Amino acid sequence: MRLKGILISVFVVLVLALSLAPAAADGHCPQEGGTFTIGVDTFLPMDPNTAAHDWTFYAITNINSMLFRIESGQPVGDLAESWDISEDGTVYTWHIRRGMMWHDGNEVFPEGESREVTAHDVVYSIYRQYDDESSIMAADLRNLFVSAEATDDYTAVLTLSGPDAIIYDKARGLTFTAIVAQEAIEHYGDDYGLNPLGSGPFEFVSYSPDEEVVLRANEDYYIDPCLDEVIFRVMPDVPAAMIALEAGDIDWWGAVTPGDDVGRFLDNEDMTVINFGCPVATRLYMSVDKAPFDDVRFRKALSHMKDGEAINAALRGPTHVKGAGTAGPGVAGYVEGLYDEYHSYDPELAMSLMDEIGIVDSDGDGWREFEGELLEIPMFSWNSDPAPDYVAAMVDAGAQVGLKIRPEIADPGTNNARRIDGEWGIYLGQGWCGEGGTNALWGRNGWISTLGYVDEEIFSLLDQSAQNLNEEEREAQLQAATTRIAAIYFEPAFGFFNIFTVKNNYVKDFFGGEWTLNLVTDDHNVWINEDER
Amino acid sequence: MADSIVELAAGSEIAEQIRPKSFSYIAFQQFIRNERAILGVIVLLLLVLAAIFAEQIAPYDPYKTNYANVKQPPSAAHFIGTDELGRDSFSRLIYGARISLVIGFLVSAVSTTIGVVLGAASGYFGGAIDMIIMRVVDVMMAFPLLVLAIALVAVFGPSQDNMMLALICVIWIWPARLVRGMVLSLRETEFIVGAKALGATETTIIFRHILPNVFPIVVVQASFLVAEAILAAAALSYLGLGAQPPTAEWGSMLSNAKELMRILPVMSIAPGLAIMVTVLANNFIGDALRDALDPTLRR
Repeated sequence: MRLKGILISVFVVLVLALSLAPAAADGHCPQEGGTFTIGVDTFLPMDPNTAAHDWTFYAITNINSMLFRIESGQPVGDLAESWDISEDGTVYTWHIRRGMMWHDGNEVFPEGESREVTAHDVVYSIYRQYDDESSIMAADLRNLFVSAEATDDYTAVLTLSGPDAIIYDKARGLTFTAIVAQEAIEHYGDDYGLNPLGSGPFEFVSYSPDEEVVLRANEDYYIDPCLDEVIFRVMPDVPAAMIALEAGDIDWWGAVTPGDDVGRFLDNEDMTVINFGCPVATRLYMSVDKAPFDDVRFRKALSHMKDGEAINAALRGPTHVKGAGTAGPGVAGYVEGLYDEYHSYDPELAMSLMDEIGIVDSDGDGWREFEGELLEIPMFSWNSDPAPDYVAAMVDAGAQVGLKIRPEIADPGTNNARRIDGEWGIYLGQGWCGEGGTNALWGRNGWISTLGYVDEEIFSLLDQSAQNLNEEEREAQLQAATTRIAAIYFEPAFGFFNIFTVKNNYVKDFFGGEWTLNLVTDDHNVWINEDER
Repeated sequence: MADSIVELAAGSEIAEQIRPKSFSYIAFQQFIRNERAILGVIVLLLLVLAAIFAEQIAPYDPYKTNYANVKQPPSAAHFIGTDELGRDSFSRLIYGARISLVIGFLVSAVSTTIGVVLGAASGYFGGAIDMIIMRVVDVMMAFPLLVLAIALVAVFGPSQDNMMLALICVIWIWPARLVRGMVLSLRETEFIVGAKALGATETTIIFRHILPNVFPIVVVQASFLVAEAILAAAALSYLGLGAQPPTAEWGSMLSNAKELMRILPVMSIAPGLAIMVTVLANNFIGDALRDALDPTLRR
């Protein structure tokens, strides 16, 4: 009787342990199958060279293998099973996992006719990004790149001119170098982004622009995905998407959740709110190489004329974080007090600065003139919420100090083209995070260099920090760069906001987006608990 | 027999009763007897007055932000609450009437003028002119109005002026087609043939004899086009292709309010209701005008 009791207890414990265990690395899934539907507000063609877009990378990082993935801030192996770094930090030797196959059953590799992914594919993919100067390859990596070579089929060697301290940056580093097959690039040409082919845990099935992208499980992956299918549903109408999320029509909202909804979802026990953990800034850029923006006093006036913190708090709700700079609180390079020092609301100061440089209302019509003509500044912005509200706020702030601001709101493509052309005016900007973001934005050939943001001292500080493996020194260099950016550019800041995504709790073993999306790794295998759905 | 003849004094009651009434007099009488038409006129008049005296009626500056007072529910201070930038929504609604009515009347007037001229030319001259104009009309009619307008705004660039231009470009085809059909039948009538026989010039025939006969139906069409233009403009602004922030326009107010639908539904309801009431008022007037000006529909 006693033995029987022990046996029953052991059996119960075993059953409980098995039912509570997360999906294991060997591919065991508590529940197999099902479709994971991800809602996003925008989506671009999935070419890793051109898709400088976080939500699109959610798909790319599941279709393509990367050398490594980032989990909880740490690099873990993917296509590279392991890697060695030389003592001086300039040579990376990647040991490629054997048996990784390109997806088959497509125009390039018919069913059963695929081939193994090799170190030569890694070299091809790195050079494809490096040779294309407009690709999204991180600036630090591009500046330090010397060569990439395959010493054999399973060993790729990346040589840099100096150590790259941010090669693992989750927002910009080598995590954005997806490994592609040369045959697929040559076969599809410019249409590769519409027919992506990789060796990751999910295979591409279909893409209906502005509608949805469908992926199915890659059964040849070294871990069996628990999910059968992943669907990215493009939902530009965010309020409608929030309703769909609550109704279970989408399982995870992977884009920015509006502030008002974050508060509501935090109170919903069926939902989990996930913080990206890297506050991003909303700020203004301007054509600093053209008058009157080339006068620091005018830049300063633009910064002080608006109540940035109040505007950001009103538009971002509970996701608002006070501050300025590229790095937010908790991120390397963050400088406390930057907002109060450079961007505090002081319309009187703004007006006196404009008076000082001759931007005055000489004809008494209530609007200021510059060099005898009405100064009407175009403010460029993209057209999705809440960007137009920032424009409206700036128009009103300008009116309070007699500065006429003309809204120029367009689709993201047109808006981007204006920045590249360096059109005269002010630009709304948001995003960028962490060290990689600071480098990519303000560094040499940075994202806004077309507007005249060129300062050798900032470039030098960022170059030094990108190669400095000493964390304390790197932090000091990043802070120095951030402070100089504020002091010389006075880039008008509104503040930061936290990016929150929201998932239904029946999605299990999911650890968030973190800019790229890892649904299947050695430690995680996302599954859907259909009983809870 | 002579005894039975009664001479009627001019201006006497009986004389007035049996005196032939002019077409406009009968139409006017018919129009004012239509209750819905009167309701439509009153509503439209109120809207026009609100638009003209917006500065005096609106309690706040519609563009003035107040970040200490964002997303407020309706109250005595803010009748329909405040938006995400703390602006008074009622004041924005009042100013919105100005934009919507200007768009409605201007687009309708310009497109009707273009449509009448091209339709009359097409119907009267026929031949190559008719063929070219009507093929353009046919091609344009193959697309839904809004889709074509969206495409044109995409080419011109989103702004209030470009939106009006796009709407004019797509709306003129309706009066053009209507007028052409009427002119085709009118040009064969005896009085036109007679005018030609008497040596009247083509300009005289078109402007003195044809257009006055087309006018009543064109007026009816124009009144419906006002409603159509207001609705299309609101749709385009809702999509971000029309009036740009911070302009107080009903369509863009609706678009802005959608994010606040759950917490402040009145922000969506108010501009939606304003659009509906304005369009309905125009349609009531249009219906009544049609009944009054078309003898076959007269009760």
